Amino acid sequence: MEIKEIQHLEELSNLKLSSQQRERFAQDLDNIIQFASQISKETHQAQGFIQSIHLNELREDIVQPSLPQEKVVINAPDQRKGCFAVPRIME
Amino acid sequence: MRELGVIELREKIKAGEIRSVDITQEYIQAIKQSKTNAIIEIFADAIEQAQEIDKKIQQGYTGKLAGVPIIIKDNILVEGKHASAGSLFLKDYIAQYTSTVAQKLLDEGAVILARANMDEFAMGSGTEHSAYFKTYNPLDTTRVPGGSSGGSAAAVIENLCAAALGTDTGGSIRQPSSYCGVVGMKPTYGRVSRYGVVAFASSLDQVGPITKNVQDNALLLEVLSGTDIHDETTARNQVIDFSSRIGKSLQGLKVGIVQSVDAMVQGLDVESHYEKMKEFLQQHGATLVDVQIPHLQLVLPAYYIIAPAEAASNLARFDGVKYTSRSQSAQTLNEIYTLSRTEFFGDEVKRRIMLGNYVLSSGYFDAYYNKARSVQAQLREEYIKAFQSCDVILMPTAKGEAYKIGGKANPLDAYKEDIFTVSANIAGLPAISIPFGVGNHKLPIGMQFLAPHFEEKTLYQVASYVEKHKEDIHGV
Repeated sequence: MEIKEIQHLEELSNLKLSSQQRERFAQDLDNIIQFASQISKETHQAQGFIQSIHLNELREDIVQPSLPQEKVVINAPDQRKGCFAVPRIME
Repeated sequence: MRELGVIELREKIKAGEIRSVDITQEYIQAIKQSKTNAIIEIFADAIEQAQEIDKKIQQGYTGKLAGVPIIIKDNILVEGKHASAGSLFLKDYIAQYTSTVAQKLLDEGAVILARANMDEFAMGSGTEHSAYFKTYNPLDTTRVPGGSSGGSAAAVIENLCAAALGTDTGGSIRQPSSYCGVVGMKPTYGRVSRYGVVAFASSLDQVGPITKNVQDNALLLEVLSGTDIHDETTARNQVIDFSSRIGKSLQGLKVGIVQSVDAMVQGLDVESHYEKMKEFLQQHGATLVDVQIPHLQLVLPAYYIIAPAEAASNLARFDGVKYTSRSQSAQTLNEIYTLSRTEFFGDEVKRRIMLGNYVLSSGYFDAYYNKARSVQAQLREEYIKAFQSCDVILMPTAKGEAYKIGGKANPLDAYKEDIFTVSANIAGLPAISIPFGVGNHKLPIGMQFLAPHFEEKTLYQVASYVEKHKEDIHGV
């Protein structure tokens, strides 16, 4: 796997590797993907398979209490007035 | 008293021979003295929980788990308590609601004693990828306890609790149970609610019990199972009768032997135990039936495509905004995302997220993800067909005894350890691992049985029979 490809994956994953890490990851991912490529031997077509055989039984849409707002944000590293707070994104 | 299982302990508590608070105290002492790092935190209110249950028991309360201390894996939420999924990202996270499985334990009078160490976000086979510390196998501290529910399995064999909960996405209950010599069950997908359990791969994850004996395991699964309004993937109209065949013989039972598994087992440490199990089953009235599961050959590649793909999506929520940890060096919103994830995810998690995004990215999606889903569908059909001619299928749980700490430094080598466990998750089947003697280093070897969807009761029938009669066999 080329370094450029790893950098692209970092971007997709919102991660930033050090150059040393990048080399190691390139090798690890190469090995794993090569192994995973055996999957090309599969010749059947996927048919929109759904794991749970009960997945189509939806429940009634009943209004129920949800978590109160203060509980939703309580674990946030920064919160203001019941909202998640982040730095300004527009100047 | 610490060595007692769930049912024995409950009966002693019920009979007034011991109070819940006393046994809870004993476990707490043992955890504090333990050197195996199985536990991340003893819950501060454990004694208080036990005292309250003792009071209720005096007034005639009879829950199925009345007064019994149980340990939960660190990815299971209990309101007001820490749960970190073995990750620095959730180091200070305090659950704001209780998972359905924990609630069910509490409803039956269990004491939720502590949270057990695990591989970060359940990604690993040795509990070496916990962000906090490695857990050592209590039976040989130079070896891993297995993973990712390594803390749970270690706690059970070390008698730090009566039983524990784990989660299993590709073997994370069964493999540590094998390595620690305890009983571990991965239920049918949809049997147990995942509500309030930190998600790894949502279409594969199941919570299940890790116990000292089979009967305890059946009882705990009985408590945990059922439809949950909070988890749309839980099955409706479940028949929960896991103990109904315990005590029955193996007469007339048909045990499927997968020919490709026979070939894979050759030369592995587990080979002689696997062969002995076949002999044992036949001697006790079961018939061995050859079955074919051709797609077993592709199950590991399929698993290492599907699981990382789902993980990459599930772990996108960890962005430095919503959950406790945010990088101090971040200035902009984008830096908050990237630097927080870089700082607080461990290497194994990063690897799997990147792998997941690789197989999901445009140009690769059809070649990897869709192919893997196709393998999944075929595998499921092949199992369903195989179960037309047999009641259960036998496989080893792992390749052998617990490996040395640091022994699987290459990630792909570690992934290949999961060869016998992942197919139950990929096909959604129930599977149990039970101890079946020891290997060359006198460490436990586990054997695994798989059953058709929702046929856990047959697994418990076979497992309890083997548990009761295995002393008959030389070397087991």
